[in-house]
Amino acid sequence: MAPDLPLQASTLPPAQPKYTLRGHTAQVHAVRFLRRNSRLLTGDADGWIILWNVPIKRPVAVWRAHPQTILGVGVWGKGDEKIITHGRDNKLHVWQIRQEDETSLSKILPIEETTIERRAPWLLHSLDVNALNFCTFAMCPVPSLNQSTEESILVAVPGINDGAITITSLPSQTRVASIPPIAGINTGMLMALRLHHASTSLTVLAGYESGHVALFRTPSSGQTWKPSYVAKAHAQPVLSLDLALGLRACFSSSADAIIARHTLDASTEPALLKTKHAGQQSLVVRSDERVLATAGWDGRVRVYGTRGGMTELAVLKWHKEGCYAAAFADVLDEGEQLQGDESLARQGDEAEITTTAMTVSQRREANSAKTHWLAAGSKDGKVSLWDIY
Amino acid sequence: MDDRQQAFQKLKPACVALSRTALALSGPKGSVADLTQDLESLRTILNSFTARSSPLDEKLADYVFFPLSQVLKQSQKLSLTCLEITLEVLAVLIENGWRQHIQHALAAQMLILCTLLAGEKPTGLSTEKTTNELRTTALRCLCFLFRALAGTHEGRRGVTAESAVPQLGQTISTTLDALVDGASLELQVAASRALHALADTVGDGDVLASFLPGVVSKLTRVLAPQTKQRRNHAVLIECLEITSVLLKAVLGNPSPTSSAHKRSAPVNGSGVRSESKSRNGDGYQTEASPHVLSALQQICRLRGHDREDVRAALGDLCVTVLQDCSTSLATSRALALGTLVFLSTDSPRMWPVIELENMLQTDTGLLALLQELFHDQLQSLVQTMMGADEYLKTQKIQHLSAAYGMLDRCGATTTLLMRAIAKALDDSVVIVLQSSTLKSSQTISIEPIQSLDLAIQDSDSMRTSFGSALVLQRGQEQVMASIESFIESLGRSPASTHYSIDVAGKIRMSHGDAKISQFWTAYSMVKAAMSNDQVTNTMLTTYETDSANSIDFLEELYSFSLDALTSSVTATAQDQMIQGLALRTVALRAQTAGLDFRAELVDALYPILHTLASPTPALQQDSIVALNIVTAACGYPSTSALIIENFDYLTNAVALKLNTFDVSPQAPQVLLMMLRLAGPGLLPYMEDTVESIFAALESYHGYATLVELLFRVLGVMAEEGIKAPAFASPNKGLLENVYVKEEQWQPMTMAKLMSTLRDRAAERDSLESAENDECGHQAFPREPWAAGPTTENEDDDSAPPLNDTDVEVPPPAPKIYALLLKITTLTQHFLPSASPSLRTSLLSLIRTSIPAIALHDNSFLPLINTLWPEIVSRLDDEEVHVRTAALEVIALLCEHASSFMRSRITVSWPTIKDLHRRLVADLVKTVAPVPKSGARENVETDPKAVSRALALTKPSGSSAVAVYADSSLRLLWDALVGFLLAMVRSTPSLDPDVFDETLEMLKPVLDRADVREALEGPNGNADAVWLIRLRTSAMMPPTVPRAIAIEGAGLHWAEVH
Repeated sequence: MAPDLPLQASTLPPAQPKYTLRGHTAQVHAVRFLRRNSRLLTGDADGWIILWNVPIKRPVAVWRAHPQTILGVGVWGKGDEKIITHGRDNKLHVWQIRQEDETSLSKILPIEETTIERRAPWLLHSLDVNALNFCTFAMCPVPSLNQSTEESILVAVPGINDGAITITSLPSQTRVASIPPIAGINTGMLMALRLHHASTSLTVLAGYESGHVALFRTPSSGQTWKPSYVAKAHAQPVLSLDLALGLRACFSSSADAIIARHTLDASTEPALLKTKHAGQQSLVVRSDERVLATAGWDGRVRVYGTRGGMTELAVLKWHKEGCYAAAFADVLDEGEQLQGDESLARQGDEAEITTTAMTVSQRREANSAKTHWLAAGSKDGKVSLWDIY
Repeated sequence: MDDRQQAFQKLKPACVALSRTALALSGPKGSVADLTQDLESLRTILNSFTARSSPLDEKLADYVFFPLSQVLKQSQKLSLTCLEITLEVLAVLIENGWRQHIQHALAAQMLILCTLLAGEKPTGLSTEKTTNELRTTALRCLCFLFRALAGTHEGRRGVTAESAVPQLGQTISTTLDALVDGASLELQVAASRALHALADTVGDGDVLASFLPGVVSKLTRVLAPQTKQRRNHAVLIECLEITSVLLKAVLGNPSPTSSAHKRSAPVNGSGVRSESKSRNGDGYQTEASPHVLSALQQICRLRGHDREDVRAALGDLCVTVLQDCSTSLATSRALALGTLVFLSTDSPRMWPVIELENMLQTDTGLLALLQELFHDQLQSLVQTMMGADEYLKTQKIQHLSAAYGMLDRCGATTTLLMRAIAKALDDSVVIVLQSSTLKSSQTISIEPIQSLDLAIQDSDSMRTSFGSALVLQRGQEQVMASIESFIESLGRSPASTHYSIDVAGKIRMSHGDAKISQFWTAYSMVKAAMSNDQVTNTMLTTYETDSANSIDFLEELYSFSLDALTSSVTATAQDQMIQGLALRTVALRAQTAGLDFRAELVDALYPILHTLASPTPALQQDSIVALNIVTAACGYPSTSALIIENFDYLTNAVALKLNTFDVSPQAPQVLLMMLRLAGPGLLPYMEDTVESIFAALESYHGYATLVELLFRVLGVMAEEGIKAPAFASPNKGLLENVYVKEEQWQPMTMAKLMSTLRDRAAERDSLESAENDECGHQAFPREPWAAGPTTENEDDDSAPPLNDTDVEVPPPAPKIYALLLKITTLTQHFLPSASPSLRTSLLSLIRTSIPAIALHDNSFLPLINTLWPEIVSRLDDEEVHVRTAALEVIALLCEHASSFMRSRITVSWPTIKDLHRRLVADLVKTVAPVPKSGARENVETDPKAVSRALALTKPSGSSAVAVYADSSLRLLWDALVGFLLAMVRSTPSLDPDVFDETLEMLKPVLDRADVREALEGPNGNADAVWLIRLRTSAMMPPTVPRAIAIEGAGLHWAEVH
């Protein structure tokens, strides 16, 4: 598909970040909002993890999860109490931080350069995984049949062989599946992964060093995993993938300048957007699947529409160095936006009545949770927060 | 009875005497003087009774009156004094004796008599003239008389009887004359009391009605404030009360009981007449109404009277008009109401005002009238505001405020009314603002606070009240204060919430003065509402929705305030006023939120500090107050603590400001303050800020002030940076020692020389023997290689491993270190700047950061390489203090880089020599201001002249010769000496020529211990110092031991000379 970039209207002044979180000394490799956008999790190349309180923009927990680079972070469980970190030290840790645990954890940022030992939170699980390259883990919850048991998740990580995928179940720590490299194509290393568990079948999305993107579905019992869809959308290694289930699509970015949109159902050719900005390290789709953002090596975060021709909506420039990670806050009030004006007004009234009962800080938290944050982590160790769309 | 008997015993002789004298008066021997004396004694006796509980009764009074009547019969012959005393006695008799039991015939006679005597031109007296005292006494007498008559029905009827009416008219007219034109105060008072008593006594409206126009017009003359004559308050009060009584009696509402009584009792003629009159009543009432109105208009001007009792009396009158004369004086009601409302502004607890409020509760007509009045006032407010009479404006607003308060208490305020009020107030404030800005031309002197951190620390004295928010002229404060109190009263009423939401929406839309006025109004209102909420919240928990509304409103204002505060353009006085208001709003918000406000600091703190750095003193003051309030609200012990604990928020805000190339000086100022307060812990967060500053420097390098400010920030960063614990001294000491040891040159000792020579000889021998041997005994080394040539390798043993470790050691505190290095490197581009102060500050910045940077050789040495040319070129600077600073920097470099500096110093040595020569010339010139052209060369090289010059310019001053000298030269000299010493101390293997010339330069200060120590130290040459000291005869040549005196040696000495 031909890139359909409209001319940039420069009537607005360049956007400025709402806030910059300074605290990491090394490159920020992972950012993620959790707990209804009240917290932000960031991980850097030295293995540090910082949990930020978003409304007041201050750290609530700082610890060194891995002695080496953090590859990815995730959250799991009711109230996002469990935090998963994936490091280059071939470990995947699951930590427990409940709201009440926050007070006992260190708030001294890595930037302070003190030698004080920071207490790590309670470690629930620790998995040995393969982390030879920079491919971060992927996870998805498994719809549990019975409500009482603890929610279980699936975690996908690269296997021992180039291009192989290992899927493990947590908390049981049992291996669920092992997907072999795609036969007949030299895909090179696995670069990016995404999982989705529908009612019965598991969808695995993989991006490879060769620029291939492949889609796997749970095979019928006894059969081996075979890709239902393979496309070489990129000339360079795939760097990031994200799913937009509502659109039945997924998006991939790579070290080259292309953003590809793949359809999940039909095996049509992917739609390509040539952005002219090579090196798009991270691609994320917002929870309402209306926009997606890429964090680029050129230090810019770009926002695109997900529908149609993937129009470039905004270029966010603040970081002087490359951006390595981006994350959207969950859009919590999407239901309201879709409804008609009348109900909106009514809800507005209701909201007003409810807000009156709140204290100032509660109000602030509520506002912050409703804000459409976009967080970008960069090589310079800073995380910028933008309020956009 | 006993008392009475005694009284009689006392009175009897006096009365007998008096009567005799009075009788004698009719004869030829009569003496007025005797009579006077007797009267006097009688008066004294009577007065002695009245002092105690009076034993007098009507019998005694009759007894005493008998001689008096004798006296009065002779009245033509009496003197005025005599008459006066008689009347006084009479007054006592009426008051205390007869009281209500006075005989009517006698009363009528006395009425005639007193009226006669009270007149200005009494007929039938010995003289044509009268005195004030006499008239006063007569009037007093009348007063008692009427009071006595008032006590009985019969008495009253007697006075109002048809036959008595002409006399009554006469009395009234006489009294009024005395009242209006009375020359003395006593007279007027007595007249007013008499008239009052008369009015009370008569009571009959019909009788009084005929006198009303005259009385009222006369009274009006008394009551209407006049410029030439100020009436006594007692008179005024009496007159007001009289008016009140008259109006009530004549024009009072026909009460059902009285009319019924009149109809049911047509007993006699007077009853019939009264009925017939009352039929005409409506006629004269309507006729009187306009007259009374115009009279009241005059009288009501008294509302501004100083004394509260007068105003209270006026209020009573008004209440009478409103309450008792509501039908007949309908036209005057508005006036009376207005007057009462006016009175309530000064004394809201006055009885008439309370009475009015009671009336308003029941009388809807009155309420409607009040509303109407209020509207009219509101309409005319703007016009009044445009006028020049500030007092009138204040009054008007207070009036409105009072009226509003009454309406509010009656629950008669509507949203529409609120809108109208708000509009009028807005307009009024705009008018005030415009007039003030018109007249006071704004001349703002730009003088930013030099050190915000000091301002912050000073502010810990905790001033927590704002001044006036608006810049006003003197004289307008009153008006604004009254408007403010009105707004506050508006804010306290629940109805205000509708209005306030209205306003909040408007503020963002409007411009200029209108915006200020709306903001101010809104702020004042919400402030009042908030304080009200606090009261209601503590008292009871109703009005929840109202308080919620006002909180919403405050929220709205607060967000507007933050926007206003952070807007970078603060050019006009209007913007500053807006910001001042915004600061107040933020402070109010903080007070309302309390500790919860800590979460808001992320947005609110920087804007407050931003205004602190503003060039306007008023705004700075406001800012400090706001900071104090916020500090208190958030529970921080001091403002510095507030800033230190929230420095992350500030860092973010400042970085954002700088990032947008906002070149207003506020952000760097705030940064400067933060750095000073928070110390080195802040620096790791400053990475991107420093980058922004660099970018700003790049883009705006032409703007000297900005560049200087930015470099001041960088300089402070360097200062704070070196305080970081990683740069603590022990580490540094260790490294320094290493350098010194590393390349220290050591003179060869004699023993070593000998051993070396011996070794060489041995070597040669062995070589020779080896050659001789030919077969090569040396096939195998006899001893380990390393142990071989001991002397040369001694240094190498220690040096290489040290070097190795040095290479691997990463710089301490990488972030801060990198920052320091970056900042220092940047200075190279700005050192040739045109501004001398910038050059100095840059050099001092370098000096600050070098000790820390020197900890890491691999970065330090390249830095020297970069900076060296620029620093050396500063040695030629036209400013002496820049040269001084450059020398100091070089000295520091020598200290820290030691051998690395050797070649550089050698290269730039000519520059230093040149500097020295010029300095010496300048120094000598200052001491001997008349330069002799011939002696110039000599002078320059003469160390004595230099040392003399130094001695003279020494700051401590050996006061004998007070020479004015430029202390900067002195400082430059010190810097030069410092540099030379540092060079000699730390640079090993100096070029011998350089050393010799150094010695030459230091000649004037060779006596200083530190100088000698350095020069004679390991890198120096003690012999050379000794020699030069000898030459300058600073010390005696050593006595050459005679025994060893060798001719050759002596010759050598001579040659050296």
